[in-house]
Amino acid sequence: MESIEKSFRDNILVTRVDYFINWARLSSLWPMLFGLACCAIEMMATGACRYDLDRFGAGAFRGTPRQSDLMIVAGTVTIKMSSRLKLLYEQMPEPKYVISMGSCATSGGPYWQHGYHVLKGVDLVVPVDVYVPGCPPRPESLIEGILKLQEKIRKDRLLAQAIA
Amino acid sequence: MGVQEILEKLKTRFEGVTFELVEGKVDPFIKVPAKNVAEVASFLKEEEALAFDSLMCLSGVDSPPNTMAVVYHLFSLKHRHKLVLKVETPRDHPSVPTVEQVWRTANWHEREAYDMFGIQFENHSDLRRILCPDDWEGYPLRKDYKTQEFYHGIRVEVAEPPDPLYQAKQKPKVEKAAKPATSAAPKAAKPGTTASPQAAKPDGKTE
Repeated sequence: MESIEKSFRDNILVTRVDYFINWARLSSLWPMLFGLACCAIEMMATGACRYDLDRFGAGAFRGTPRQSDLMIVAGTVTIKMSSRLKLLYEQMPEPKYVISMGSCATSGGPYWQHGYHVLKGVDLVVPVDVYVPGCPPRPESLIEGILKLQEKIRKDRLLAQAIA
Repeated sequence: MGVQEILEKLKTRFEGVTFELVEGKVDPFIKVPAKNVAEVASFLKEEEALAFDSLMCLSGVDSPPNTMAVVYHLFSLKHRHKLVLKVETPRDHPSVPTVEQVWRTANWHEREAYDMFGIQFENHSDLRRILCPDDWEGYPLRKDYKTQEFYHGIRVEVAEPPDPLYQAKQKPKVEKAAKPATSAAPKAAKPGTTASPQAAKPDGKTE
């Protein structure tokens, strides 16, 4: 038993399969439509023709969480909305990632001091992988955030974790 | 039709009611006693020469220590004239009759005034909170409002105290000082960074 397990752990076969799986996953990150406020306009601009997100494979915005693996939280999250956000996050299938776009989603934004109903950072309800600061972040910033997420996915060891 | 003529019409129609015209502000407004609001409103709408068929806005005003007010901005699409009414009510038990039967839009406007100030509207068909969640504590736009600390396990205000850089930018409090516009500088890192200053904040706070 030991020898069989050892043969599946961290050897050339598993790493190559992991590499290909990760490459497939990062080249087709499908975001869920989660534009809440002004950052949504910049997200739309990023998906549009000039700053095309589709060339990174991330242009297929899905309306349903069941078919997406990336949630770009773009905009101010109110506390009333945060429970819905958590529900939608839990409905996404694994492996899933969250990009917190803009300063409102990162830390409450310009409402950090007096906004009584603004959630001070979306990482109070969901685990975030990449934070993209800006108010709103330029499309190039969002693209860099997605590229950083792709770097993170490249290092994932899903298959090795599943077997070991 | 100017404010004076409308005031004359109101005075002839409602003999026992004391109206007060306050001028010198941006819009001269008419103060109406709280108990007469509903009938004054329906008169203003039904009367041919006045025909205020549109309630542009209904707002609450908090004037400590004693009064709260409700301000109505009316407009007539037929005659193109405007009017501003103000109704005052005591601050500890604010209560104003509803004008929902006259202008349907007052339904949501009064719900907002209730949500933000706690003003009770008598005979309202559905008086509940509209902006904040139903189990929110307090009335946010009151001058003495303190935010609740937690809501369903989520911290409502920012947890960490302002950092030294922010403190250094704080000027001593003058009467009408504006709040400093910048938040903490370390948060403005280069775009797309994965390390976050918020990583220290534990995120298992929700139920």
